[in-house]
Amino acid sequence: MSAPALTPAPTAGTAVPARPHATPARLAAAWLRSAPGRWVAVTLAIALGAGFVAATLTFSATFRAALAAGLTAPYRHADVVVTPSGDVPDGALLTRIRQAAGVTAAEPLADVPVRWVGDRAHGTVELTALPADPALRWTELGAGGWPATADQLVLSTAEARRSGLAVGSRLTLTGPAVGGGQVPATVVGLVDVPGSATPGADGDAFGTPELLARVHQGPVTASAVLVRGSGDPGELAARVRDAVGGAGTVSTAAEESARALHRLEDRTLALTTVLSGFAAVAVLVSGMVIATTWTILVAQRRRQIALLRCVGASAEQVRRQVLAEAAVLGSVGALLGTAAGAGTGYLAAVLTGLAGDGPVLEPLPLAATVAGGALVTVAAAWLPAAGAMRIPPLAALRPADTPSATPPATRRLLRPVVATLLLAAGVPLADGARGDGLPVALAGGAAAAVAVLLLAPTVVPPLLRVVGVLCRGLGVPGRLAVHNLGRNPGRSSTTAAALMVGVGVIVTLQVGAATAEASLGGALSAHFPVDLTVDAGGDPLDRDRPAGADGAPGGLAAAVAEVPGTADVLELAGARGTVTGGATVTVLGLPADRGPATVRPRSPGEVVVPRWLDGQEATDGRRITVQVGDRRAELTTRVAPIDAAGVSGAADTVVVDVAVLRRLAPAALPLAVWASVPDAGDAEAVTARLTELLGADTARQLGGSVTERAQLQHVLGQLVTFATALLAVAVLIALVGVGNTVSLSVLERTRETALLRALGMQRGQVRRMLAVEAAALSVAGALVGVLAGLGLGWAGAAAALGASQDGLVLSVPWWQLAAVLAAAAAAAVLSSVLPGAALAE
Amino acid sequence: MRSPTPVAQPTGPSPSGPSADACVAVDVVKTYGTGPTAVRALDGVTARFRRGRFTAIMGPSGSGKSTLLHCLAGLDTVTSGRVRIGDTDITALDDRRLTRLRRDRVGFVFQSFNLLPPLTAEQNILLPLDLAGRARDRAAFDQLVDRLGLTDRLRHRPAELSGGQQQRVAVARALITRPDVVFADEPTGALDIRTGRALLSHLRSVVRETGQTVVMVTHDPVAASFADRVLVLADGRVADELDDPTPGTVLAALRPLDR
Repeated sequence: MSAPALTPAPTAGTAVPARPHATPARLAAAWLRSAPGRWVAVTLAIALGAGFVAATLTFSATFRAALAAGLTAPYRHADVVVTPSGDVPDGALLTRIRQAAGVTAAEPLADVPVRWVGDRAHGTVELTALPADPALRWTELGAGGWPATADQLVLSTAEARRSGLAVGSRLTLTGPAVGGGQVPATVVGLVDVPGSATPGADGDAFGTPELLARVHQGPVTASAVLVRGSGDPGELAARVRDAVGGAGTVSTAAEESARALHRLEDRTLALTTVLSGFAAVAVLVSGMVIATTWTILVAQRRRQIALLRCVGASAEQVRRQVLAEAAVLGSVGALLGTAAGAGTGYLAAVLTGLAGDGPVLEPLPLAATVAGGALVTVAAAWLPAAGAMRIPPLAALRPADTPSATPPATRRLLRPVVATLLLAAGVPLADGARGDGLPVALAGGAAAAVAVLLLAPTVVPPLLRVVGVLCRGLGVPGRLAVHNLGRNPGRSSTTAAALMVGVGVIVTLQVGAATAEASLGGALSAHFPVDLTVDAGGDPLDRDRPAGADGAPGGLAAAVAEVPGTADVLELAGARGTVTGGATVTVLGLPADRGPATVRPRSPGEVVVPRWLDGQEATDGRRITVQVGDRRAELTTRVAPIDAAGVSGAADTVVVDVAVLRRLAPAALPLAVWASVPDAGDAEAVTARLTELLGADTARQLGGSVTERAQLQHVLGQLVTFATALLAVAVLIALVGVGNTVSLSVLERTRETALLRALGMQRGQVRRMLAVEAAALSVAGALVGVLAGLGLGWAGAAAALGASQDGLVLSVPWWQLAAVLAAAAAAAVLSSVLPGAALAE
Repeated sequence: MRSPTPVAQPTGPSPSGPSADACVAVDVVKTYGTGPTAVRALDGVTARFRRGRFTAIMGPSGSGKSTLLHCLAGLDTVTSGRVRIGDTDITALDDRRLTRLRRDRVGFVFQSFNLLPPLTAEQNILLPLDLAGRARDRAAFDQLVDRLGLTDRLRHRPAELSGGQQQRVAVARALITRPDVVFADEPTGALDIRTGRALLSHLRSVVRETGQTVVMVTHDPVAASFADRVLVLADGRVADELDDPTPGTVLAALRPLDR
């Protein structure tokens, strides 16, 4: 047979201009459409990362707008704002301003914190003087009417809702002044205050200037004067400036608003920074997970890609196809995530009461988030795409084996070396930065964190072997699982590292917060000698019962002793008296062997005095006379921080031996109750219980370090909970990665598992094998994360507190750490369920 | 070590010079591994495949027939020796040129897994043209598809096609670029006997009608009898060569190699 004439290959005649991108993109589209389920995990990782950023953006934009609306609200109808210098009385200043040409109205802006007590509830509000000229009122009346007399006030709708008050509610107001009287007032209306206050801040109330003066027991100094006038605000400001002279600073309302917003930026900078930091962690973790998942997505299609190469796809076309997939999925995932995240961010603002007047969506940053999500995905897919390029065409002819790619020796060596250098630089920086402040410590901490990350491939495989030894007890499935993890150490460690980052940051936070709490607690103890004090501002707690000479609890003290968490409850008798120089003091008597040693007289001849007595600095060893009524005693002074435990009110408190007190005031009544709270962890509960116990009795006041400590615990606890919730997202993303890694090992081992099944391995055993794999991987990752977090958390707290060596108490929230580890393992086992079911088939 | 002397010279006259050969292998040696554990899969193979002919490569397991096919097709590199496709020495090509050669001048049909699951039959057939950014010749495409009996199967995905249909799609894809040579590696290996025979008849008739060159590896004497010529390999060398084979002559040629 002879060769027939060969038709020439149609390279010249029918060739059309090449469309280099068309086929990779079309192939990518076909692949994406063909098995949507395969792409769910990676899309989830992308969406979670982008969603976190979008949520952060929306949350901060919304709450900043809300705060800004609240801050700038008073200037809403003003043209010019005058800030008094304090040299001229408010009345004179107002007269000067009103005389300026073009001024139609000028009203002082003044407020005072007020404690109110109603029939069933009590609380505090910021009572603001309502501008007499309605043109300058910045609030809208929602119900009722404006206050006309000094016994009427209006409340913000939010405060009324929070406290269960309504138009017609009768309140008793107490101002901050010492011995301030109680002023009755009726709620006559509700107003809508723009924006919203910081959570935990006082609510808003408005009353006439006369009401303010009554509550304050004197006129309240204006913090600003709101001015309205005709013509251009700039020209008006100039005229007002001429009229005011040196009595105040004049600016237009717009300038004043801008200044307020600027101060707000400063105040919210810390929160924004922290949120950005968390967002960065989430993005880092999702990038790592996307990269591992994409490696898996490439490995799953190893033969198909090889076939593509056989048929004539260039390596570049394969790369473009993988990157096209990443671009498409990245955009879709980021878009979904950003939309969901913006919603979540607003929801978070609503739940924390920071939503103000509705969601604020910043189009540019949100669009950048979508673009960034796509970009991060493409970047994360870059290495897997390069791996896909290296798949030889011949692989199409072989069963799906995935040889583990061993990086060149130089790169293997490079990692530990770089990591060690970073550690060497980072740890001393983070640790030694106590004096130098936070930025240096942050840099050091970041370096150390990157080092830990780089060390992962070196550290994780041996760790997996250690964890593996523990899994031996689980029989054949356990042994196989550990062997499987060892097969592809690179992939195992990347997966574990993603988890490590998430867990590491959470633990850093927890340890940091616990250490900060313990250290600040230590500092508080030095400052506050008594954990808990209750007094009635120098009035007797129990009028009808003289105090026992031994300080034994009775009456209120007995009730305090009943509260779980309190100990060493002391009832202290006392009396009003004077000291040399004529200053009024409250004299408390302390039994010789009771109470904290720092504030206890060492002998009957000693009197414990605060550092500042009657406005003068006190010194040790001075002889002074303490007089109650007409009885007097000569005593030697010892200075101690008694002011922090002293009876509230204007008078200073001094402590004498109880026997001395009896001599001075034989009929002394109980003035104070002291108690200790041995376990700082009880502080919040004890405070809550006591506040309830004291009820609406405004005269009795709770003091001592325990309230501070409870506040500290509360704030830190809220912060840590908030941050942990945020970072849990990062861990969630990492767990998606664990599930993916396990599904890949499933894919690689289909035949092998079939063999195992043929050899009699039960379905349950197969599933158990995968569960052990996932758990071992997670525990290894979480373990490194916990260890790194411990170190970084401690260093971070040290740097943030700038504490001296002795003030720092390393505190480890053990049960929290255990919970993190357990959660990681449990979630990992859960993430192996789907692949397990697939493999057991 | 045996010297890489060719056992059999390519037979038949070659009146029109090198261009009469679609594919030529000269002294091809392929070793795997190094040192004492090295395996010499091809031990100096010289063979010529003339244009328009259908050649079967046979031999016992481990005789190197698949390795030879991979080396001829540029899927695997040779340790020494030369392989030419048309006028191009492919042993000197870099990955980019090899890829273009596979795309434009070589067709493949494998034992199984020939098609990309997400693409339809038509998209699979047109893949090499798409990858090259070339437009299809509508008439040629229709004719080819019609000859292989795939006209009503073009919109189906591989999972919706029978094994025989899948292999015919693979044949169509291998032929769509009118390559210098089509390499087939056990194309009937995954098919039952009847479907396998039908595929081979299709392949032979398309080859005869379009003047394509086919090199097929098989271990089935009946499959080999569809070829114009059979090359028998043993221990990495050409052991025998048959023209116009029948199952009987192929079996007879293989028998001395069965140890």
